[in-house]
Amino acid sequence: MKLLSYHIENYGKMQNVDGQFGAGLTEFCESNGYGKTTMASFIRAMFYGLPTYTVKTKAFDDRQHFYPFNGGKFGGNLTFEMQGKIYKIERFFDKKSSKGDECKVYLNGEPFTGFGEEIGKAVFGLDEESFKKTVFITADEIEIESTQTINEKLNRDVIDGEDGDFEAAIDALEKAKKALKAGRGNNDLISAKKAEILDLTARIQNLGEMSDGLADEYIERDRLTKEIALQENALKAAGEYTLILQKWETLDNLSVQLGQKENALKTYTEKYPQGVPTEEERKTLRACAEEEARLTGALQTAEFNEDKAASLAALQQKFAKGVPTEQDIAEKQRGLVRLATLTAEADAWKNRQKAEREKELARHFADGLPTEEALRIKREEVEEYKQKDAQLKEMHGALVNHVPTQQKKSGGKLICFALAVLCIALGVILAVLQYLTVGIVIGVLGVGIGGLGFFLKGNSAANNVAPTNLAVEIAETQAKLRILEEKLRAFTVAYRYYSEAGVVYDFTALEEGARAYQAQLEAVKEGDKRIFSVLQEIERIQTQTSLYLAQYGEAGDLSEGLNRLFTAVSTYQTLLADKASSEGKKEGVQAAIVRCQATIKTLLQKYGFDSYVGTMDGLNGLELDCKRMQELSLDVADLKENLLNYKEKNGLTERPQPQGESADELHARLSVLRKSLADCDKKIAEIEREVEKLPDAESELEQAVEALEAYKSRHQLLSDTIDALRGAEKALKDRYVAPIKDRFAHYAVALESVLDEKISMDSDYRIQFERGGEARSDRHLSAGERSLCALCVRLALIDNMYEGEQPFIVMDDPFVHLDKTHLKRVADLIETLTQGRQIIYFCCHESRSMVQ
Amino acid sequence: MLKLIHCADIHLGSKMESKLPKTKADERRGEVRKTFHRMVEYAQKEGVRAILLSGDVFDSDRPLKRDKEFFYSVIKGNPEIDFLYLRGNHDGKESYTEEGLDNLKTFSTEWSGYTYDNVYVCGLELARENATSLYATLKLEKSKINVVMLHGQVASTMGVDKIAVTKLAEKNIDYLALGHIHSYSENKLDDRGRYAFSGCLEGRGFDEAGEKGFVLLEVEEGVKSTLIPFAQRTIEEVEVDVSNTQNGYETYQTIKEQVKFNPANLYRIRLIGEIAYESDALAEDVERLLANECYFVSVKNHTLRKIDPSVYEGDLSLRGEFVRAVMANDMPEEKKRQIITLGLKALAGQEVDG
Repeated sequence: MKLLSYHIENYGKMQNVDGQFGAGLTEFCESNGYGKTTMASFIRAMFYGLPTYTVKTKAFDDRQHFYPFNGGKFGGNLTFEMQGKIYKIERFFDKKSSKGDECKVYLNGEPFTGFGEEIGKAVFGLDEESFKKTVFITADEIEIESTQTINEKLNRDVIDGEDGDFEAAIDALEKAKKALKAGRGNNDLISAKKAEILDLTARIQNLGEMSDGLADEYIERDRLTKEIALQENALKAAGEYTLILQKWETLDNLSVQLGQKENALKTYTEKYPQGVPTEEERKTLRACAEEEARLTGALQTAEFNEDKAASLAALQQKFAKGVPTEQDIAEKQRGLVRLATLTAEADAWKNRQKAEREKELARHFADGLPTEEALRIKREEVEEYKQKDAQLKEMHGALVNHVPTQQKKSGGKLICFALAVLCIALGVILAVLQYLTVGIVIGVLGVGIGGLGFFLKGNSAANNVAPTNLAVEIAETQAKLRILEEKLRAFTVAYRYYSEAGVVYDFTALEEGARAYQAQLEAVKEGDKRIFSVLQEIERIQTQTSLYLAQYGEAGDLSEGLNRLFTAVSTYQTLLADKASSEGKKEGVQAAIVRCQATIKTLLQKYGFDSYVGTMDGLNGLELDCKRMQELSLDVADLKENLLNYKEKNGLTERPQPQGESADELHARLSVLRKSLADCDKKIAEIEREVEKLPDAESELEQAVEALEAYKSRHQLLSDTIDALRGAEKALKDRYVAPIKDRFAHYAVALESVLDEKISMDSDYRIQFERGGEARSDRHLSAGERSLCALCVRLALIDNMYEGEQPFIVMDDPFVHLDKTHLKRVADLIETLTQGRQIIYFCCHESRSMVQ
Repeated sequence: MLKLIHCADIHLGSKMESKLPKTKADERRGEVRKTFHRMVEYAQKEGVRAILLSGDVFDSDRPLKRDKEFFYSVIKGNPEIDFLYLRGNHDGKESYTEEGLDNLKTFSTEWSGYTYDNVYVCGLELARENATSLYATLKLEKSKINVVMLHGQVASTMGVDKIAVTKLAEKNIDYLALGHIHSYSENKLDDRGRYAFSGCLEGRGFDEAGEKGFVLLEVEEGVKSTLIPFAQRTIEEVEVDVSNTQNGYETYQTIKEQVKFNPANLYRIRLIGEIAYESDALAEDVERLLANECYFVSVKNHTLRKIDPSVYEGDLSLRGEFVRAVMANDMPEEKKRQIITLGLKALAGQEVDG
């Protein structure tokens, strides 16, 4: 690959400059200011462009540096040959940003896009940095090192496979290693796990010590348990002693009770030195005393006293004319009963209530009943009326049969007649009922309507084709009927019978009402007659009874008088009987009383009792004493027996002697011991709760140790992997760097003639030289010497990087640091080194010119 | 017929070894107590005359008061059953704390025993001073049925916690009731007798997988022994080859197909085989998926990364170089796979967990 020509439109201070490149060495040796660095930059910029300038850009970069001093279009073009094809790169740059740059590539004069955006990378297979380290040589770039893209270029068949970055892989593995074990500090898994293990170990040790400490607690617990058992036994013994004491106390209580009972009994025996009557005797005494009291009472009761005598005398005087018999009194009482019945009957008649019908009839016939004659006459008129009415109906029927079509037309006439009749009737009624004026008006109206009826009749008759005789007859009959009706109406209305049902109906009602009212009047008359006889009977009974009572001085209310008489008779008879009885019984009772008193006296004397004992109170007292003595005797006997039994049953032969500690003291001590045991148990429980965690802690420790081992194993594995990877990488590098080393050795032979040093290169492209039999770093060489070494390394690299067509080399005054002696040698060296290569060489002084 | 129960290694108060969460570990400790109590109820129901406790009733020389109270209250509550309690290596010191329990029969470092009709049950607590002499001092009547209790592991030599069973042959032993080993086993002692470990009542960790319970001894003419599985939960360890799976979910499905889960049990699933996919979190992922299948499940990933060396033979890249270099190393195969897995993951630009 060779550069052919260039055209600089504007680049730095260069303006509209064209030039050609030679096939071998093309030297631009001009003094400073000519623009050789500008030229070199232009060549590089054509392939790689210029960096974007921003406000943050601190360095004075090429875009700023070479922006045309006089303005104008910034850039130009560069023509080169590669694999027999002619390419031209045409680039124009924006002042600041690559976004404003223009770039075009031409292949044989035609636009070409095969290089893509990164033309330099496509052409050289290198990025810009690698380009600077290989084919673009300056005095500044004397560090000898490869870049990733150089390596990729060198190992293109190896590295450009599926594998990623070796360094990245190593970094990832190192990172994983550091996560397990950091180079510094303890922020890693292994350190954390070790710390955890230490913690767990300490915890387990602590728990173990706590567990060991439990032994003392268990011993203390055993001691307390045994001590408690001893104290409980002692307490049990004390309890038994207390129990026996309690039994003795019970026995003593029984003895005291016995003494009390015996003393009480003694009081009674002293009270009754001759003993007390037997129960039988006490019963006899009580019976006699009660009998005496009863007889004494009876004696008093039997006696006919003065009051009774006075009463008897008064009654004897009352009945001086004879004592009324029971039959008489009973008869009078029956009379009074009859009197009450009759009085009630008379009162009922006087106070009777009239029924509604009676009242209605009384209203109808308040002015008196119609005579039979009047009724008869009216009855005949009614019959006549009925007869006429029937005739009229027959005549109407006949008329209808003859002229059926006209009957309907006479309907209006009939209505008129009917209305007329009604009005007249109403007028009459109202007149009767004292509405005279209204009655006359309505009656006149009825006449008028009747006239209208006749007028209609006249018309119909005028139109009637039937026989006129029948019509005349009807009219006459109707006139008669009206007359009859008026008569009858006048009659019924006088008795307040008027209804819409018609006069026949009203008359019939009147006639029935008259009959009923007549019957009613007759019934009242009969009742009055009956009551009259009742009143006579009442007077008779009252008179007779009053006279009877008056015989015995009784007056006033008959019934009360008769009752008083009856009572007086009864009292009189009782007093007579009492008087007779009293006189008969008195002697017998007195004899019985004497007998009772004798019996009582005998028994009192037997036991030396005073007479008071013979009284009921005395006997009651004696009875209570006897009962109490009996109870006390029984109690004494029971207590004696209980005493003996209790003593025998509980083996109470001898009172026990007091023992060491009291139950209270033992209880107190036991309480303290139990509390201590509870405290001890609590403490044990607390410790055991902690110690219970020991298995878990041990498990955790085991797991932690296992995890630590796993981490360590993993760490070792990562280390081994890194070593293996590095070994592989070194082996690979050795394999692929060897040719570079060979090529460098080739150039190093020529270099030795310049530097007088034996130069060599290792797998990492590090340059060494031997001095005094010792390998030394190229850093011990002068800058000029190092620039020569760097040139050789780059040539070796380029030789290996490009198997076929090799690229041109740009040298931007790289030997500025060499002295004259070396420069002279370098010129020969360059000739040797650059055989078959296109070299674009820039220098600013003739002394560094390579042109021989 | 006399009925006896032979059990051992109840380990009341023990920690749970199966990495159970704390709540479940607590629950399991409670279940150990419950199972012991259930066994005593079983004994009541079946008319068992005595329960032979061949050591390690408690997990600690200094059992917690709570565990002791529980144990002794069970004994107090069942006076018609004798509890023949021989201490083991775990509960050797402060286990006998109760006095006055007629049905609690204990032993010492010298042979002592208890007679039930024609049956003589004797035992001795192993200690340094009797470790060698116990064989000579054991005297048993030939006419009786002899049951001997010891706690230790069967060995060919004598020593503390060791039982040289060959030296107990021809001692007229009908049944040697041993404790110490947590799995049931029974073997011939001599022409007359057998020796058996009852195993523990409940498994406490995945190292105690399998059926657990006690041995019912029915003694008439001889001794008939039957293992009665009695654990509330069984611990099962299952190995599942997941070579044909492509991801975690397929692994889960494969496990579901191959393991018939009992909801009450605890499972340890060991994943084996070669898989070609990322498996760093496989165990955790599968554990989560299986969490509701049983009481507790632990998944251990022992799979190897599937690597075909031939794939890398012609690979000139760093990856090929790396794989070839590791495969050529003489480190264990599992480690090689792990290194390769990690290295390839890093080279692929994936994040590598620490």
